Amino acid sequence: MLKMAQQKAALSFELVAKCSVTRARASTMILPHGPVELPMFMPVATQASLKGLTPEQLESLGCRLCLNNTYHLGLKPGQATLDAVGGAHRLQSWNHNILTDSGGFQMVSLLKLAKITEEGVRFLSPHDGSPMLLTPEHSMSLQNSIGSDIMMQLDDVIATTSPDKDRMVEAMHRSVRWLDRCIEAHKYPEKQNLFCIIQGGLDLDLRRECVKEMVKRDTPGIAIGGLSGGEEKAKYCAVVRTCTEMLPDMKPRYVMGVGYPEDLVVSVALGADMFDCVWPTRTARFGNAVTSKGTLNLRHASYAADFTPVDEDCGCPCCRPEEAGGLGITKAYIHHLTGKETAGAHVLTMHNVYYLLDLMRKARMAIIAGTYPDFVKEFFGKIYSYDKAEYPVWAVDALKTVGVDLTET
Amino acid sequence: MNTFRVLKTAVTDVAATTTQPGATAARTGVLNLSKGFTLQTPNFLAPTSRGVVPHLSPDNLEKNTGVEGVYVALEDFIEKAPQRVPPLYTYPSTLRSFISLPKSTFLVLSPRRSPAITCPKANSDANLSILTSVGFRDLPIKDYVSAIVRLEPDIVLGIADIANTVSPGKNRVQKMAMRTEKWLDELLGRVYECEDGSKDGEKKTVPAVFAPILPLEKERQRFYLSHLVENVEKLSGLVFTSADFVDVVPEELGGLPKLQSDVMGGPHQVLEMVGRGSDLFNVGFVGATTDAGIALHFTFSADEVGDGEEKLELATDMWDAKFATDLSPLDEGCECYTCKVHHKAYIRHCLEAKEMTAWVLLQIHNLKVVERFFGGIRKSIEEGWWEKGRSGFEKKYKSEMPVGTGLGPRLRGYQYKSVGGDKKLNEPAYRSLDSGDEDEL
Repeated sequence: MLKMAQQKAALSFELVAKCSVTRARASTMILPHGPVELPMFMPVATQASLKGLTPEQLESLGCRLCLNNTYHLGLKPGQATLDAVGGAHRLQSWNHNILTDSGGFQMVSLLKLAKITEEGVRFLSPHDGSPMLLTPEHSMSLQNSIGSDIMMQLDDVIATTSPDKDRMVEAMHRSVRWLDRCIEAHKYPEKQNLFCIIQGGLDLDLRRECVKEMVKRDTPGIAIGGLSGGEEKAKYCAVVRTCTEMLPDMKPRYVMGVGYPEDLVVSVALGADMFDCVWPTRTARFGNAVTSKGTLNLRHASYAADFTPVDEDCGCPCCRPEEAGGLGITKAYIHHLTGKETAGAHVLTMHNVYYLLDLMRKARMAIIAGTYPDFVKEFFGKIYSYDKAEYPVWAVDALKTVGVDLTET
Repeated sequence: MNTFRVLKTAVTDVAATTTQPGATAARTGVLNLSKGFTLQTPNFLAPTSRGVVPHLSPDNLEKNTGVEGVYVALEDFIEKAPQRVPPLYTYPSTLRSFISLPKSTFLVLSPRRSPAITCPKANSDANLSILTSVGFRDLPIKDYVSAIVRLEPDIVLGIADIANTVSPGKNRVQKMAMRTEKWLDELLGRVYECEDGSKDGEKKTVPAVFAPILPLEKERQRFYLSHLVENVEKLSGLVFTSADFVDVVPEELGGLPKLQSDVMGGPHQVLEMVGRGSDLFNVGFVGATTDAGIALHFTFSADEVGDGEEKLELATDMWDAKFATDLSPLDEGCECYTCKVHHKAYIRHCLEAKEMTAWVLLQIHNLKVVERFFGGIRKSIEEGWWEKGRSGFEKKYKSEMPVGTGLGPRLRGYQYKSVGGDKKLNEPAYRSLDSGDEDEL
């Protein structure tokens, strides 16, 4: 009954270092379009473009793996066009790696409109209202057409905050069954990697059971899904910790939909390697800068005449001074442009993406140097000006479970 | 020193153009600005909005375009003045630094955007009516004059008092000329006071001042024009808001470079204006084309064009579904980033998906086409085939741009003037699927 595995993988995974205190890991993953260094953040180019940036700009930020959204590309430009063009890399002239989700997350965000059966997800297209059916087979077929380096299985996602225990159990088991169908339907396991997604809501036993089942299928990588849907942070951390505890060392671990800097730093300590989120790019368009001192709302009048760089500690093309070959963009200029000229959003998007990519690069260096606990302390210290009373309780508690005490001096 | 030197005037066989004094034929020149910028003319400026060439972050402007000069409006920066001091006025450095303008690009400062939206309130002796992102405001002339000292533009345009009615009466016309003259004097006074006032013997670099020519017949701005002639030593150029009035320029001012600030009509209009002796063009039509999702692809060449040939399009509407799987570049052989790296299918996809990258890529390409076009014009004058190139261009290309079929990027309040009863200019981004509409689905 159990289909043993995914024989092939289109990636190689090398563990470079492990933190001696926390569960943080530094690793290198070689994908069909080149190597990537973990832990890493992956920006989301939903419709095959990263919100006004050119692929050249994205590359210059150091990004080597970005997301595309299967569901959106399935609607525009559509599968026939993707086949004719030869996949998403060719479409967007991106010669690095692409990860695609399965379209499953839209079940959470569009749940009102979706009906989930064993066959798949039936929903109305938000573009023209026509009925659509997304099955594991169809998701695989779309992702094969896209040609992503990492594909995600279609999973049965329900909001973790749902009180319906039976539905949660059903969703977990169905996700496992759908993984089997995905493995079966995947046409190119030798050149595209299929990752499974662990479900089970906030119920840790359910998660454990799911991990056991999923790990048996031996996919090239493993994702922890269904999170980042408004659950309590402490519960989120418990789920991540529970899963990473049981996961094999030699596979990449991807926590889906996570993008706040604090979440990233804590999740790395809990043993996760990969993250994605639209928040840094979306919030940039609203004029919010993600910085080492926290998130700044640059639309606020107090920044109108603030002529300092967006983040003084940042080495991105937008913050670097002109003398150092950067643009030397000030907070005041972003304030001047936000919501009025899209180029302002482009510049701030570059900054935010760079900040998160760089945060993970620095985390990796710290893990290799054996100083990750110090890195975590310095990171929280900077955001909260070393005022320990301000540190979020969930982060302090979660880090304690992996041997880092933020409150000690 | 800001200097302009005419290098070569096109040999023309059309005798009519030389009969009018001041009217010149197409010419090449070189404009040297005191900060070390050198510009070969005829050439173009890129209009900016709030300091950016629309859709282009400064890194893209520098790396992926050949834009040598930008046209920046002070009205984009002063918002709630005088109630609140504009941040730009307290900025410790120059305007070019505030907007992160690439080092190799020079900056032309104008009081108003191009083309300027007509304000309901008339100008007064001390104030120019302007439109900011928070509504119609006054720009005190003295603010503009004192701003140039700190903002350090490379070229500063004088302020024209243009009536907000189509056909101003006799008194208004008189006032237009008098005010424009007075405002120009204030500007020149300030600029040269700065130059003289600098210490250590060395003259401080001053911006080049371009005096406005009013959109009036020669006779109606006679006194103003003679005032310009008297001050010709202090002037570095002339600026026109309308192409129709190039011929009013007296001979004595013929050696100054002529800037057309509102070039909305496309390449045929540019050629006509080059033919009448204009040197610099603020190419507003490029941004309009980009916003419409249209890719330019015209060239100015010495190719022979037969009379009977079918005319080519100047540009292509990239919204067209026929490009959905077209992997060819926008323009075969084009050297721009967009054409070297991307293809029609991607641009069409980004337009269809309303992804901002569509307009970024189109803007890069369209500016490159215009850059090449001006390069062609200069070459033709230098090599003596200007007339042939111009008539060939007219025979080769259709006179109108194609009409865009898709939606542009969202319009902002300071980009247009609403008229009562207007429909919404921006489509709603979302609608509810499970509301009343659902029955129809």
